Amino acid sequence: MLCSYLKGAKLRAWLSRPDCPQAVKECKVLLDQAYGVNGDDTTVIDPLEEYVRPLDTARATNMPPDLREFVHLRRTVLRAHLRHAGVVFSRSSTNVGNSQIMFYPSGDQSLRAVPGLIKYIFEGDDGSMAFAVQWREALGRNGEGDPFAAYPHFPAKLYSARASEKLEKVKILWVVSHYACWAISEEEVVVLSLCRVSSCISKPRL
Amino acid sequence: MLDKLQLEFKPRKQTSVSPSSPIEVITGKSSPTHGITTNGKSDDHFKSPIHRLDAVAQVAVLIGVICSTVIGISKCGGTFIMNALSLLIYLAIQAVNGTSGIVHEHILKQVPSTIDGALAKLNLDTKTIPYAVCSCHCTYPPTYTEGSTIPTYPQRCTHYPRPGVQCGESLLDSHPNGESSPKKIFLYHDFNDYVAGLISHGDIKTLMDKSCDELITSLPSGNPHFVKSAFDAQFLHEFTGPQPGRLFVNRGTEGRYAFALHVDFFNAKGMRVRGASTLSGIISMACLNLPLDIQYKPENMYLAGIIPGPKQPSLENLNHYIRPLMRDLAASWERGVRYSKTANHPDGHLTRSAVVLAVCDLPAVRHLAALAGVGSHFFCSACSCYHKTNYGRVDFMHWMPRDKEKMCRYAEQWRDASTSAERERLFKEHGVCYSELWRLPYWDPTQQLVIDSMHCILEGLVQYHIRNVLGLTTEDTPALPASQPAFDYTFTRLDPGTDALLSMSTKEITQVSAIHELLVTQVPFPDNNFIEMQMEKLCDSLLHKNVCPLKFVCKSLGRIPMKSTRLYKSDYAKALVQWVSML
Amino acid sequence: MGKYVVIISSLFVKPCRQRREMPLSAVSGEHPSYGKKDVLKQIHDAIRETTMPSWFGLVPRNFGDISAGTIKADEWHSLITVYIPIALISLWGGPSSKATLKSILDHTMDLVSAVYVSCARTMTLEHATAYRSYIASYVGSLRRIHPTSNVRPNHHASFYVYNYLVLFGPVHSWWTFPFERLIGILQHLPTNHKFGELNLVRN
Repeated sequence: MLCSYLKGAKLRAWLSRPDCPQAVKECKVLLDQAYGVNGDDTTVIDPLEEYVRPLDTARATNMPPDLREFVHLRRTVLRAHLRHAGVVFSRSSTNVGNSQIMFYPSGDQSLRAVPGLIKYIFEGDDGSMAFAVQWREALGRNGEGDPFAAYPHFPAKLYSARASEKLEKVKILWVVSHYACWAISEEEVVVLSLCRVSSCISKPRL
Repeated sequence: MLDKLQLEFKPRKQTSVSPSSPIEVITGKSSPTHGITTNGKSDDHFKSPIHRLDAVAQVAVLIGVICSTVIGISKCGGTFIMNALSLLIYLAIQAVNGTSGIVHEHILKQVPSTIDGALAKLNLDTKTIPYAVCSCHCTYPPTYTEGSTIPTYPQRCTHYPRPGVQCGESLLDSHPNGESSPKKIFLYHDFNDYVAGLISHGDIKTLMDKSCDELITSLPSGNPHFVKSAFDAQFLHEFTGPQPGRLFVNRGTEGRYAFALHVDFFNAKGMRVRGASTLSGIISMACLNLPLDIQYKPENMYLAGIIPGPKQPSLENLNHYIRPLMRDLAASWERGVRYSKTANHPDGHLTRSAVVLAVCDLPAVRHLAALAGVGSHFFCSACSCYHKTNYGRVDFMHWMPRDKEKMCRYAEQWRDASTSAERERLFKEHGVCYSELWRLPYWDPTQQLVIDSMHCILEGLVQYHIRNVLGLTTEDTPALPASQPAFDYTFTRLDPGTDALLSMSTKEITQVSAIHELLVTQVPFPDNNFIEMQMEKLCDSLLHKNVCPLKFVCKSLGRIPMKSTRLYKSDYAKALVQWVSML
Repeated sequence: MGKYVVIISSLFVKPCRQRREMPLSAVSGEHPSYGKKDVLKQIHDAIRETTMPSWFGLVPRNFGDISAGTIKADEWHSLITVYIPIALISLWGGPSSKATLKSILDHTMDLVSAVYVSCARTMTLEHATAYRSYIASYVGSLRRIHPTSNVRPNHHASFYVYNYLVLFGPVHSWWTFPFERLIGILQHLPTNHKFGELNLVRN
């Protein structure tokens, strides 16, 4: 058992070396693909990729009107999924769970992260991928009467079950994490941030 | 706000660098898998024969190797794959060129015809040492006669499992052809060979040195507020040695590597198999110098060996399996290990390695450090909290840390005890056996013995809370709930090292707390008859306890019966019943 | 026989009279009670209905049943960080909840908060101190809120996670998940189920 394991470990080490022969490196790529090894590459080709033309062409009718304010090019690319830093983000029509993101509005990290739903994953004017996000509407209670917000180190809060119609452009780097969402009634959902890096430094309840 | 916490540290034993010369490891040509001496040669970690092959042959070799090591096909299957690949290449050449030229012939010759040939092109062998294992778990390294690769071992075991009693079991099986082989083998992956492999990668070596250098550079600005790895945290900012007063990570021109050690046992037949199981153990380490994203990659982790089953070795017997690694680590600390060539030092490089922490679940941590089991009254390896009644203490500011030097002394006394009775007495008094970890001069179990939070919090506290405390299970719970005491009373505890404790057996020590619970039991029905029955029942229950614990509790309450003749168990029991009534 | 009865009685009459003067049962208020099945149903609903990203570890949908099998550490982590707290808060966190249930909820949330703080990928002194405070509160209140429960060695050991967080940093630097993964790899390697055998190289 030990010898089998050590052989496998040494093979992996060989394949990871930068001075590995080129042909062997190509084989490693195939091996990683076959065994589902994830990478960080944001340019992974999505089999669900769609090419959409703006409104002034014959295929204009497919262009979502709410995306036009973010896209000023004649062509753009819409994706169903995007992989970034080993995490998959999806549009809400494809996978709701992967579309639920906590993000800093306008990328301002001094603000509290807010929840939103990714409606589109698109290529922006500068060629980088971005998200068009619908905000989760707040309940307007300022946290009062919210039993989920009573625990400082438990990052949960009640929100409206309704998502806003207005879209906001969110860059990938503004995204903090995904969130979990449970509808506790028809009007309200509990949003629980799944951020792995704790940024909460308030005093614990003793 | 202080960044550094005021934990109570015990000063570590200062050791000086041994005047002995470093251990030399020559990273040269390949050597046989087995038959390695302590100053032996490691495998070639830099280049393998595959580099000299044509690209077509390289891919063919890799396909065969992956089939064998990753997919796990048999030797026959592997040979078929290699030959089929040769045929494929030949046919492809024919289809393109019509005929094969000299170059094509050369490529075809490079493709091995057997799976062993393919494996040899990649130098996947590692240096392992086969130790013979006795039924008493003692391990024996092989010796080799000049020019031979066949290991030889002693005929019989010379270990003393108990003081004065030699094992004497035969270590070897005889074969019809006159040869003999060990009955059981423990294969040890040479630690220095593992490190040689790690530092033969230039990028890996650079990252390992960078961790130390960045820590040294950051020292003037104090401990970092945001700690992301072990190298940002307090321990390595204060861990000195082997030169006294100098931080371990202050490496100078050496390589300094910190490791986390782990020992665990697993069912070799799979994790979901229940019932009678065969247990194997692993001894493994992870290099903390590496960034977290590659630290735990299987190719970067160290697997020292797999402890053969079918059963888990008992407390002190685990020592036999960790001894080879501890010897290498102790030598690395005291003498250093010089590698003749590394990726960044073609002329040689001196390195030292240390175990910074040993992490296991709670039972395994006690087993590894050879301490009394978690169910004993010595339930903490870090502080002096004693007796099971103290599990629920929350006054952590008053917990006295155990004295590391004393623990080491007790362990050595246990090891050197001349009789079994003396060993038992020492163990009962201190809860410590000898562990091979004490071979490391810097070993401090009060800080470095780490209970894994995953097991402690998730599988311990969380599981107990959800299943037992909240009772969130659909299983029927026929057992009666434990009763709540009627009133609180601070009873005198049994303290370790006292005559009272030493005079009692483990069962009697437990009975002391049972007696305390009986004395404060509530009366279920507030009726006169029931109270009388309860008192009789209390007396009956007390009579089931041994006289030593009864006497201890009576004495602690000042209720020793006044009687001119000999005192019996019933006298103590009645005195305690009377005490309850006199409150 | 009668004399024996008198002697026995006389031994206990006075103690009985005086024992009655001591509390007969604990005065800590009513025992907490809730419908276990209702709570389990709420948790099952949470598991079934909560939308999660694809990377989040699944838990058995019939959690609590014997048929759900052994719950592993990462599943306990998913349960205690997501499903258990949102289910319990939705049941007992409202303003109209009974005080006893609210105290059980708050006590459970001490443990939940301890898990959150201890599993942070970046550690600070504040995190470590918060962790220890939560654990002290949890362990200290355990017998008061759940009188029939016991404290165990892990309760004491959990205090030392504070020390390890300070000495060695975030748990990801020193937990056993990667080593358990190594064991998982070994268990899937083909073996001949013979322990400690090896064919040694012979000339």
